[in-house]
Amino acid sequence: MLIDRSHKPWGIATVAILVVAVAIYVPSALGSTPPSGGSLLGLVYGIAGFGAMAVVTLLALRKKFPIWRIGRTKVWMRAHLWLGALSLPLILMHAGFLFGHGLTSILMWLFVFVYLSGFFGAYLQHTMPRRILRDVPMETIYDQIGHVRKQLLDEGDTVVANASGALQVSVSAPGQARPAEASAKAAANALASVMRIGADDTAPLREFYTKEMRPFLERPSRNHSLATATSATAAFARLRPILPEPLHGAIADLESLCEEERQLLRQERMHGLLHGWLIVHVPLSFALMALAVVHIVMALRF
Amino acid sequence: MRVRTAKQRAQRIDLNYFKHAHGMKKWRILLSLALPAAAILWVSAFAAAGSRAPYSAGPVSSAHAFAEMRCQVCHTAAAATAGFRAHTTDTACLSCHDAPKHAANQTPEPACATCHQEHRGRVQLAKLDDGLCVECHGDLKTTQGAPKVATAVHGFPSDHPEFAALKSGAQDPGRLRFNHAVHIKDSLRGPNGPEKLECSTCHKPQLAKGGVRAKGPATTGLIEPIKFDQNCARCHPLFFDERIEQQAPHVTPDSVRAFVQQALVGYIRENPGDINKPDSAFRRVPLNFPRPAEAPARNAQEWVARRAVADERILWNKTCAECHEREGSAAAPASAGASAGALPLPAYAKTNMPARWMPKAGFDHTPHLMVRCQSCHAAEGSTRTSDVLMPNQAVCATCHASSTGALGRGTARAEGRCFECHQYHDWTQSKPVTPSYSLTDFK
Repeated sequence: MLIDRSHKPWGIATVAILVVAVAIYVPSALGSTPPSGGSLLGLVYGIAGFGAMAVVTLLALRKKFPIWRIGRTKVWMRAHLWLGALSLPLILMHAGFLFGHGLTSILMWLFVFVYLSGFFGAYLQHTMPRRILRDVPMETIYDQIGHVRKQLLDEGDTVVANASGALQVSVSAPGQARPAEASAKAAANALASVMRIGADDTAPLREFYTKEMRPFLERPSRNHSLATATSATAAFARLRPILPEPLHGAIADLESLCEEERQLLRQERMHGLLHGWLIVHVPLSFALMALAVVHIVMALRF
Repeated sequence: MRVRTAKQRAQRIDLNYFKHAHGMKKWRILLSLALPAAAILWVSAFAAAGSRAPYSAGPVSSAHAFAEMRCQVCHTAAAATAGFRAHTTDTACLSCHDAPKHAANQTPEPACATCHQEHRGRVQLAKLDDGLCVECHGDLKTTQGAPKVATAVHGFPSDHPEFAALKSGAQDPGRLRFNHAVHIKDSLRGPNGPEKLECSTCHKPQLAKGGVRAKGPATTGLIEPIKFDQNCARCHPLFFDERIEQQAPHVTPDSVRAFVQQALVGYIRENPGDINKPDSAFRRVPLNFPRPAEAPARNAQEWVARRAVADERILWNKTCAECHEREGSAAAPASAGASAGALPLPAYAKTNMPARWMPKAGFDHTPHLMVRCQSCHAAEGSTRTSDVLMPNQAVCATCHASSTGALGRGTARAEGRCFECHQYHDWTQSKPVTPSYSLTDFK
């Protein structure tokens, strides 16, 4: 969610609450008995902080049950962002800016990690979608990337078979009953092409595809020579002079396939960043809330 | 040029993709369940072991470290709260400690834990922040009667009243004639010739009772009260007769009289020939006119009576009076076995030398021994007994400063908080504690 002008009321409310909280805290902290977790003022901050944390955590529940009529997800998300931002200062004032000992210390450090990962996530949510839009014009649904890759591989095989005849290639995906050679239809098309172009002329294309490009499409890696646009362009440029003119169309198709694969790689990486922080943020948040409840019960007891 | 048919485009999307969570989502769900579960397991493991360690707010004070792992010693469940709340109550503290009331007329006294806050590390619980004292003493109220101490004190030395001994018009209550300036001048006449007295020649640290401690100086922090035998006799001997080598004891006049009589009787018994010798003892009496020589004594009794009068005159009027203020005659001449014609026994004022100058505060000389005495005590210019030589609070404030409040902590000054000099509990009212634990309770 982008933090734009529509967040202004939330931002103002958050800052106002924070200012009031600090204004009450500072004189007390400078006074004779600084507030601690067990003092009246500390308890007020603790209750407010935990309330904010609870609302923030409930976003996960709200997302789990989108049809519930408990406010729009957009409102929940704003509450998540702004109350989340408010919660740590409140809890720090609750604790007198001390990290404590034992469970309290674990809670504080957990909170700091959750808080920082949340800020990092908010930053990524602001910047990464635009970058993906700019850098990955052929973006697909993240979960479809594997499926699309198989299609790219098939398409590459077909392009080369059409240009130079049937390919003798190994099975790319284990467990999948793909034919050892390209499809029958591709082979039929290949026959027509081979009749037009001599077999020796297409040898460099076949060799390039089977040794360089096909492994890249099968097992995409950022370390591969075709994984960078510059080296890929150079590789295809070296290929063009040694191949007859009629095969240049196939080379352009292969180059386009490589570009799409590179974008899928880039999308994977950006998507990993965009959503990977949640692997830290969400589980730690749940652990934090579980331990916070234990802390509350035990603080009331002792 | 790559051309995709409509069918190819349609096949690009796997319509069942949403049925299978991708790796990242799987991990997120897995960890979201595993981490809270692990956290609860961790807490449960401690609970199963009967340990409350995770809930400890921090290490306990040094004095309570022995019971650190036995939370229930202090955190006792109160019956009134159905056993859930286990806050430390005063009862738990008082089961080990006697804590006399601060003052009889104080406003409702706080709970022990209000001031003595535990779980702050290996600290001394008696070292409290000034704020706790200032809460009452900043605007002192009493339950009955007017307060006998300053009613608005917020710190030292900001508005701490001047020490009582130094308030305007206050004098040393001592009645012993003493001139500090004379005693610390150069080339003072000593028993073995000229000498220079130092403060420490007379003023020595008071040794603690019970001998040497395992570590640290075995002193009380106070200065040993001045005693004649130890501090004065070396230069001020109590000789009373040129014939007798003994000195009079530093005791009450009647005892001195008895001693003098006994010494003279003993002398004349051993030297009976002196009875008929002319008396020259009067030369030692500082009179303006020489007295006519008296007729020799007729017997030993008369000789002793005459000598006793002469010796006592020296003692009462010169030797004793050099330091002690005379307050008239206290007893009839016949008392203490004196013969007829004896001088009346003098009465001297009690020396009344204060053993402690700050009855409501404590001061330890030991950590101050590296400072020259005269940095604090202006003894060089003191010529009268009534001079109070105790340093005022401004002198103390040269090094000691209060550190009240969060921002005041860590000030590069010597400790200046209230507890440095004052004690909250009136330990004169302390009572023995009834033992209620055995060693196994702390294991």
